[in-house]
Amino acid sequence: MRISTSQLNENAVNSILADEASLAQTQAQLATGKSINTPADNPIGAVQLLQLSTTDSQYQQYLANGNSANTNLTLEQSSLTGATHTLQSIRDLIVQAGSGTNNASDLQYIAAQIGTLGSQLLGNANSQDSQGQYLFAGFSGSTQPFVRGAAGSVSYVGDSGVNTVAVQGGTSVQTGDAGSSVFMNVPAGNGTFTTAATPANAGTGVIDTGSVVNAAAFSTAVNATPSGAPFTISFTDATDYVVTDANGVQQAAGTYNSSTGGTVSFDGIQVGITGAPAAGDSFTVAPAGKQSVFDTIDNLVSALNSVGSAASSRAQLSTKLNTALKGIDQAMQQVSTVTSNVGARLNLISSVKATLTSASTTVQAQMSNIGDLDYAKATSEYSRQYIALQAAEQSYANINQLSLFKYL
Amino acid sequence: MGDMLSTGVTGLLAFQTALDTISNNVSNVNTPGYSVESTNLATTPATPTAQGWIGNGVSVVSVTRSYSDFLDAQTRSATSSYNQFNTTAGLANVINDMFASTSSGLPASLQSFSRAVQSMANAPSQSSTRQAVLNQATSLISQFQGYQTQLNQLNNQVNTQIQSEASTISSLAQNIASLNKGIMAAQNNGSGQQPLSLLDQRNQLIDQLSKEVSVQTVQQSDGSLSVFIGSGQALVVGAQAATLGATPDQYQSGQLGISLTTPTGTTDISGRLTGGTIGGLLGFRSQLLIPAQNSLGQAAVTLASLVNTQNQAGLDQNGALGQPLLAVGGPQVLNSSNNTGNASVTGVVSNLGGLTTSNYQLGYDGTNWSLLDTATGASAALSANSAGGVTTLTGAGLTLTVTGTAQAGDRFLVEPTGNAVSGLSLLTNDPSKIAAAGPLVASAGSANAGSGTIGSATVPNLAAWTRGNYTIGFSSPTAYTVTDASGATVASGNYTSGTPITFNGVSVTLTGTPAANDSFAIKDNANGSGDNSNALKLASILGSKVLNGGSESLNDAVNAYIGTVGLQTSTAQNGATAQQSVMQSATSAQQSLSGVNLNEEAANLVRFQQAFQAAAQVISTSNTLFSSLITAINSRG
Repeated sequence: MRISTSQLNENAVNSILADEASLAQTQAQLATGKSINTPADNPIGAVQLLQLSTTDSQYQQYLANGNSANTNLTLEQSSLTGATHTLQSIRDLIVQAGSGTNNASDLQYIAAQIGTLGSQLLGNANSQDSQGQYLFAGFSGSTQPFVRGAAGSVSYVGDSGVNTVAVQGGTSVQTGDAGSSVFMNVPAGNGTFTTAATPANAGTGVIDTGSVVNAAAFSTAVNATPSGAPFTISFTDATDYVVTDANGVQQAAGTYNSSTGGTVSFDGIQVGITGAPAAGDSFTVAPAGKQSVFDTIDNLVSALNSVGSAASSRAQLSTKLNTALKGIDQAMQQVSTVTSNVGARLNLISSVKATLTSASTTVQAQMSNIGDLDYAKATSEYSRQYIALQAAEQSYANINQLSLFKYL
Repeated sequence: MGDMLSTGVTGLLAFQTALDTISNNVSNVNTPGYSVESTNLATTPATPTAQGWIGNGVSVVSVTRSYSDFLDAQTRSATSSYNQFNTTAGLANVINDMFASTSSGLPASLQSFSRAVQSMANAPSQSSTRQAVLNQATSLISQFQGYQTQLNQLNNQVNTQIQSEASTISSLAQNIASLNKGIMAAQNNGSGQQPLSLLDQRNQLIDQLSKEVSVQTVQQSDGSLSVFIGSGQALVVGAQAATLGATPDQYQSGQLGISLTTPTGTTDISGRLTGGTIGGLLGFRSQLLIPAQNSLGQAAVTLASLVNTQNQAGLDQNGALGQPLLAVGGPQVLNSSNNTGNASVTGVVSNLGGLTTSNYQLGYDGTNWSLLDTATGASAALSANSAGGVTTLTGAGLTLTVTGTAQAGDRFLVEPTGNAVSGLSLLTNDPSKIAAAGPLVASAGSANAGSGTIGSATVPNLAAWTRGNYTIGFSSPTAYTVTDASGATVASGNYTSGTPITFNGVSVTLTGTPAANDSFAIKDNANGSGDNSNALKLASILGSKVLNGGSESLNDAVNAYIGTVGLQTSTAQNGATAQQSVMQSATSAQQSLSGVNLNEEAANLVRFQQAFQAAAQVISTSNTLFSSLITAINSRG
């Protein structure tokens, strides 16, 4: 083929330019270490990279969420542990108060100690995080949740809200518990019913907190129309009693031996009575509601402080100590349930964290596969292109020297 | 002998002409558009004698150029294609580079915003985490606007180039027309010879024209060449040239089109031009630039719509109902300057799932309205509803309201999201205005005896919501009454486990079996500064699949769009590379015929130099013969 002289030059220059362009691209890849520097380099790979980077970013956020929840829950756990210790100390003092060897001033001293522990428990319940947010206030984090009102009793002014955070796709954990479900709403009595001695009792009869034999029978009696609750155990004399419901209908009757004590059974429940009730003394049994742990402590302190020296007064105290002991046990039960839930959440977070970390590593490896440069391939490509350019330049210089005019 | 002298002279003259031609070829070796010329020689008719025909030497018949119309047309068509792809690739690269970074691009910013919202959900009462959300929103907005600014600059660049293209093409057309005139005059002067240099110049101008726009030529018998551009628009006819102008689009002055002015009038030919730089510019604008603006706009509209809707469903840090956080530009409807009616159209986005990244042409034929995708020409579904003199049209995710009277043939350009980013801004700088808290907090009464549990209470109907505390009381396990804070009954009904109870815009679901006299409190969460339930929804809604008929999330759409940009850019780049080699081989073929080869010229130079010397020798010999004859005669006398 006939080649024109200017075309000879142009062809050579074009191929040098093309070689330079590909060399520049390989050089750019080597410099960044990435095979995809703009979406046009590999449109499909670029979109995959974006999607993977979105996924990884979400994993990182889940990890951050988990860490944040971990901080909150650890704080809650230490508050709850503190509360459990306080409740245990109170329980020990109740047992000490019930030993029967205490005089009135001993009891007042114990009352003072329990009062101090009660304040400590209130402090636990009003714990704040590093931001000054109350841990047990529900959504109303900036409001002190447990306040002692003018009437002297502690009330909850937070709400029942509970925050959750997503720690993994489809998995959320609670980051706290509302104070109402920890310190308030503790089941009263044994959880089914409460017992009490009538204040005017003249004898030394003491009633325990009882137990349930047949829950359905008790429920039937309570939910009858009209309701049977409360029930009254009345001693007609020192050895005979009758049990009547709220409508005056007799539920049971029996004899009582003051030297051995006795068990009174009716409507699927049984209660134990010890001591020597006088004729006309009575005890009441009512379905259990809910009570705050602070009310339990307040009642206990006032019972210890108001005890007289008479045997009947001591008997009243014993009944109240029985009730208080059961109440504190119920509270400890509730706090420990919450504590174990918190522990379970912490476990979940730490296992999710392990999963996320490995998933994130996988995603990053995928991103590296797609977007990172194969250096071996790129450097050999670079040498090849370098040699091609060199050859093009050299041959151009050589060919340019050829001209017939030189020989004329 | 006299014949010998004159025969020698014819050779001398012919070889001189040939040497002239060779020197002209050598001189023009680097002249663009020059076609190699050759001297065509022929024997001068011989003289008949009794002994036979005696030759009379040589004569120059013509000087012609090596030229092929076919090869030229091929080169031009390849040049047009190459320039079109190359222009598109160059401009597309700008958009491609805008989205090049995976760590700081739009997807990364959207992700950062979403993560800031999630971090706020971890500590909703902290003003620092709330401020971080606003900061991320601000940087997201400035990123959107930065992109928009770059795209606007590209639009201006395209406009400027269209203007200069129009004047370049016009002046090329002028020059071609005047060369046509000169060629017609030279060819008809009676010599019958072609004005080679004028033809080469005209070719060269048409080659230049083919860089700007695709061009077809038709050779006329009078020597002139008629030049047509685009899909057959006459640019040069004989000595007459049309003028190209850059004129504003019929809908908006910000976009320039191309108009052709001939003695018979002016027409807009933007839609009919292909190939060359101008084809690249127009193609880039309709295939890449407008979709880029619309895609960004779609993302902005979606972001604003999702964030605002969710923020309005919650309570801010002060316990007030959330307000919209982001402002965004609405759809734009532009009247054609050719409209005869006085109708004006306004639009709002009514359905995110139906929103596209296309622009539409809204047309009225006197009875019906139609919606056409301007890029593809495809018809889009449009439903019309007329009431009280106002026509409401619904289609492409928009609701368009027509006021005034449209006439048949009226047209409007609908840009659903093209204007969105320019209106994108943050409506508040107050971090407390982010509604992290849900509107309500539900709880079961502490004395409840039944097994009923209450789920979270929501406000699906904000308009009907009357804020306040409500109590759901059960008079029996199957009958409930909802009372407000003053004790007034607002709703009552029969309870079914799992069926939502609704009142005053509130919806709440109870499960289990409540006992008689159980109650459930639904309190206004005005004090809920620590609540994160709405913040969690805000974080997750950004990933919800609302676009493209509910199949794509905001992130998906942005990622897919960036993939499209990459694909279009690489297609343009590959096209340019491919067309470049086509152009180079076509040019090679053309140059192989028409180009000057110096070695060939050197050989010819030697050949004709020797011939010239030989002819001179013939004259010298003739002179010698004549002299010896004269001498012989003189010596005899």
